[in-house]
Amino acid sequence: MELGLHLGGGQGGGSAAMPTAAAAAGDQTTWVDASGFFFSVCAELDVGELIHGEHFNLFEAMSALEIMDPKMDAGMATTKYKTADEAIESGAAPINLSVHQLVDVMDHLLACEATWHKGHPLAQTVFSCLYLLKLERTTPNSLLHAFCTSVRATCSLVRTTVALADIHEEEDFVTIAYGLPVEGEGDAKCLSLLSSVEETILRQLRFTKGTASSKRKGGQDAECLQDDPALEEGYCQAILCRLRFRKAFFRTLSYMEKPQGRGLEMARKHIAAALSELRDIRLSSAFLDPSSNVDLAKTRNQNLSSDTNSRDSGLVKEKPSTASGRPAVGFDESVNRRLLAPTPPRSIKILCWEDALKYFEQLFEDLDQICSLPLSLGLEELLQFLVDFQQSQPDLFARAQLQLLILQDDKLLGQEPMAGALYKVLGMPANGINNNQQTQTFVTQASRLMQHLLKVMCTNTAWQRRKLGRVILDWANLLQEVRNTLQEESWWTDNVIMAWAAEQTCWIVTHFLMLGFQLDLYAPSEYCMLYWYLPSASLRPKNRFSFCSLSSKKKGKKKKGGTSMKVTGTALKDVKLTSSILLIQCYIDLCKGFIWMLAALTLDCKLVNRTPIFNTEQERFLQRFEILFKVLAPEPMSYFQFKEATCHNHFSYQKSYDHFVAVQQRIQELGPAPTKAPELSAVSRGQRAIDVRKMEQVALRNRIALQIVHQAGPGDNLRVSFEFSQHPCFPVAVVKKS
Amino acid sequence: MIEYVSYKDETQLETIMSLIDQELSEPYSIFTYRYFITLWPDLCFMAFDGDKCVGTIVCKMGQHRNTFRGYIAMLVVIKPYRGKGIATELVTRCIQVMRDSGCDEVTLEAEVTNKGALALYGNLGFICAKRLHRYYLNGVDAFRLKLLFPRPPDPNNLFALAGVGHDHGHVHHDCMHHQHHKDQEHCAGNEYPHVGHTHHNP
Repeated sequence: MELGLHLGGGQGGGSAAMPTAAAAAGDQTTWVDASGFFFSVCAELDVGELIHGEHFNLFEAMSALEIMDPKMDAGMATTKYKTADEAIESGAAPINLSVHQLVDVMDHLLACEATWHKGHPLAQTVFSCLYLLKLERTTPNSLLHAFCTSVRATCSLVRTTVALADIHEEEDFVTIAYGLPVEGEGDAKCLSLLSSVEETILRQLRFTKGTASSKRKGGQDAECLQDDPALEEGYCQAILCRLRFRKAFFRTLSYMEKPQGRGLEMARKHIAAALSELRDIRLSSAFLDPSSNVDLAKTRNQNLSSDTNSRDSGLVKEKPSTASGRPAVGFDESVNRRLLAPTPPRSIKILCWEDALKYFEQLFEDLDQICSLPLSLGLEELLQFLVDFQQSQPDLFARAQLQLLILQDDKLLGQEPMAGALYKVLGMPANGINNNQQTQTFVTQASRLMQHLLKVMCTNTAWQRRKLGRVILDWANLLQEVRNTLQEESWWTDNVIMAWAAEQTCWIVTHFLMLGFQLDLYAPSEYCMLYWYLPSASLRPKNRFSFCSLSSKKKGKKKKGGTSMKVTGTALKDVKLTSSILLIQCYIDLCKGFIWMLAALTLDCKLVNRTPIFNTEQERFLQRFEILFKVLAPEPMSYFQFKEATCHNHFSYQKSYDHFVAVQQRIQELGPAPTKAPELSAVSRGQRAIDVRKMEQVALRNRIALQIVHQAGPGDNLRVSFEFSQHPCFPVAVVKKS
Repeated sequence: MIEYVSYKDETQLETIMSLIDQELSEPYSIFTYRYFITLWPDLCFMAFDGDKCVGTIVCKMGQHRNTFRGYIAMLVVIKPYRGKGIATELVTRCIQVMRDSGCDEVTLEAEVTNKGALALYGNLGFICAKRLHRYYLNGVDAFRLKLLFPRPPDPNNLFALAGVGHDHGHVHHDCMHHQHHKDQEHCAGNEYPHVGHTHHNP
């Protein structure tokens, strides 16, 4: 028995006195009030005694929810309406809306949609809209009906995409509908509904803009949106761009769904339209809420005294979720409360209007980058694109779309099977003479691993890094198998397959380590070991020299700017330094600059590094790199090797300084080449340019820091810390007086 | 002068519960507290200023796949008493018990924005092993922090001596280390989840 748990009723006679399993309650059951008995038994329990079922103890009891505790009981925190019907009957969702109210509904619904995309429950976002819960009700109001139908149709497409891509597990994006009316018959007709109401508004707009005489003539036919003729045009425009945005949104998704990337070009057109309508929607804010005019607000602020707290003056309110700043009618978060069990009730915050707009602007920019992907992109260029695409931290839906595109029908970019792409990368014809059993087996396995890797590269970076840990082991096994089955020492297997597999593993390992910087996983006391380990992952594995002689033959076949060119010290003079090699050398020189700077600063007592009491640097080294000890390439490196390499009796800042100088020199040699590599995607070219600029800044600033530190003389007269102000993976030293 | 006491019995449970309830946003039922504190009373400490409880820590330990692992579930120090090293002292005491009971490592989750906690644990030797996307229900990411205790060197495995684990994943336990652990039941593969929390940690 666990400590502290005893069966109650110890006086009575233990388990023998306990009744056998109770019979289920039925019609014949008589109920008696057992409160008195219950409380008297409780009174007999000693401190620490607990009664529990044989198979239900404290571990199981942890999932209990206390009824009527508002923190846990979903039913306790409801507002006055318990169901949608109740709310509607009480008039919470009128169908006859003024145009101001209608625009507010449209805006708040858009904000709800963005909030849902960000990972909050459908029931508390999009379906907190009473109109959506009972869509048939809205038919008399054609504008409302068209808008709501298109929202439902779009959300349905989004849900399907995310569910298919299957990369949302960690992101709280719940695809299960929990009984909400997420689908409707005829939702695909939302486009025609939208077009029809758009026509009506256009007519109204034309009429409004017409001459005074034509207005008098056509007076009977006009369907004014609201009473004030001066505002009529503004409202027409506001409604129009919102309707058009929905059309563009729906069309974009429909075209992106088309197989083999056939619809991507059309999708881009509608993306451009969507972005244009979003701009118009933004402009309409000034009209819908005059107080949102920034200049106006500035003048007001200037009139206040400087020490007035803006909060006190009431100028800063909670940001509204509509352009007008007014709350929308027809929404009630709590009517779906019961659908949300078993999670405890959480009140979520709908995104404010500004953030909702920003979300969709970013989403369509991301979708545009995806649709611009050349379908002929090589495998390794695609991997690089996936890394670069993630720099802007795209949200789940964009990544899901990307994932579906690149692995459509189990084909790379929907074009050819993965195996075919791999043969290309290896420089082999698919049915060539060298295509023995072993090669085929390898290609089959590698295809599987590559597909999985591509999928993992579309997940959010936090989850991605964890997955990559497993991926590394899979590739390590592949490499091991290749080496083991290398019976005949065939030229192809040894050089081509082995080198390629090793290279991919090195790439994954490098990416895995660099992600740690971007995710803020590393503490300053770990930087030195990381920068020390990184170059080995960037360098090529064994057999470099043999592959090198090979690569000159294959130069014609492989037109890559990627990492396929090999270089060793001896072969250097024979092989022309291409921009990709220079780039790799930049990274390596940066890493080395940091190793020596950190080692020197530590010896010089200028770094703040507390010694923890429970473990040593060796344990932390093990934790960081253990996962890499199983791979053949990059060659595993031990803690002792690390200490040997970095512990000197004399420190010198010169070594570090020289490396940073080398970085700047190589960048100069590079020139504009990285931005021009034709085989890369546009996104990657852009990212390379940014990367190079940032590395240059890092090198420059660290050189300056080193000079300061050197001039200050030895000892703890200065304190050095590091900030990632320029580059996400390479920091700048910040020097302060101690 | 702060006095540190080990958990004794249920009479202290209400103090602990109210302290944690008021500081942390997650709703815990009394059974959750009981699970930890009843099964691992050695891993529950309270800090008193006179007769006022100003801080407390709740932990567990048990077998998790191939390792014997300690887990820090809740740590609270009330606002006026922060910044005095009370939290560090509470944590240190628990980790000492875990180490002496044979744990290979200690783990916990903390918000990525909780600079204080990250500094506290970093000073004790923890690293941020993983980042958990939107772990908390308010959308904030978390770090999984891990402390690895030094392993006794294995003379049969020179590679391991060099710091390169050859048999990674097969940590050999001297079973005598386990005589103190009370966890008779199977520990679920997942870390202790928040009530109703739908995340799974692989």
